[in-house]
Amino acid sequence: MSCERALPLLYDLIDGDIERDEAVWLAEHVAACGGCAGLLKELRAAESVYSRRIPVEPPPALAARIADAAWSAAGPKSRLRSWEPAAAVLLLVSLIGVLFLPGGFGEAVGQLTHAVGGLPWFSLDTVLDLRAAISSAAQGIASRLPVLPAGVAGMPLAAAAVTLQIIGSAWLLRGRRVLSGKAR
Amino acid sequence: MTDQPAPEEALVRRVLAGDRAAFEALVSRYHRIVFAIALRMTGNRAEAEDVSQEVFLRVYRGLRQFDPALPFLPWVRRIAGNAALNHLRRRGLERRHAAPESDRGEIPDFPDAAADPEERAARAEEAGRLERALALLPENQRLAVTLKYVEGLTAEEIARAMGAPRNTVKTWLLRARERLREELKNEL
Repeated sequence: MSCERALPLLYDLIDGDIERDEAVWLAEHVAACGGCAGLLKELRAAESVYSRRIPVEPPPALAARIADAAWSAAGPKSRLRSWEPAAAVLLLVSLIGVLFLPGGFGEAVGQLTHAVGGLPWFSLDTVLDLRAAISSAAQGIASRLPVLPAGVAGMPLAAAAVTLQIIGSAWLLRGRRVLSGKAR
Repeated sequence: MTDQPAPEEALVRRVLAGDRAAFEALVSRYHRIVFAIALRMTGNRAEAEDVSQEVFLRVYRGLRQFDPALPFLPWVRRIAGNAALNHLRRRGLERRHAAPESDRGEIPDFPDAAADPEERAARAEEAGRLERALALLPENQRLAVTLKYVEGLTAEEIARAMGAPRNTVKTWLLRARERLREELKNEL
């Protein structure tokens, strides 16, 4: 019974996690019990092996591999896709251009047509069709509201058209990059 | 001027701001502990690398919920322990309770290059025996023993890391060490 009681206390002693009164009792027991004295030596030897052999050294470059893989899998990505900042800037510039161009909506659309028609991912025919639709819609709005110049009525429509063209172009561009394996 | 390592709190804040170098610094600081836990739990280097990677992925994803003012290591340790246990559960019962596979008995860590070949072989053999004995332990006991000998944690600290009562951890440690002693009785 004493030796059974001693076993967990021997481990506590090795771990440095033993109450004072238990340590006193254990010391008396070990002094009187050859078996437990031998066991204490054995446990200390085993402890030395565990402390030496259980820790492991990681493979070289593991940290770099882990960081790379984890960052790639979950690293911070911009909330905006790569083309969206450029699209936003282009849209802003276009809108400013529309607002400040002299000569009203017709000239604005003309400028826009030249601008966006130059994008390689959007056909000029589509741009011209869009221009005709915008002009028609703007004229229709202006005819119902004589106080509103056609240029002003067409601004939101022109902005929507520019946005559509930019997004469409960017989408086509992204699609091409995905197909060619350049985009993730 | 000496190069003091950046405090964890600062590193965490930098990682949250998208600083990859700060994330690499965190990985570099803790990957030894994480890998050791993963290897001792899985008994397989390739799986341990996968688990380690998963741990840091979880760390990254959990950073926004982590309070940078709290100690970082216990949080990482707990994630590592859970990831290793989950991995073992996914791996399946048949492998979990099977005897170590042939590859698990291979040299489980890098031998000391400075040691002579005989000594290296002896160390590798000793490590292999220990590895096989560890694989026989129930998962909780294996994790408790790993935390104790990899990091030198006390029963109290292991209890916190594993979310278990201290007395339960002490029982796990006692049973685990008795089992190891039994398995290695001719070697110790």
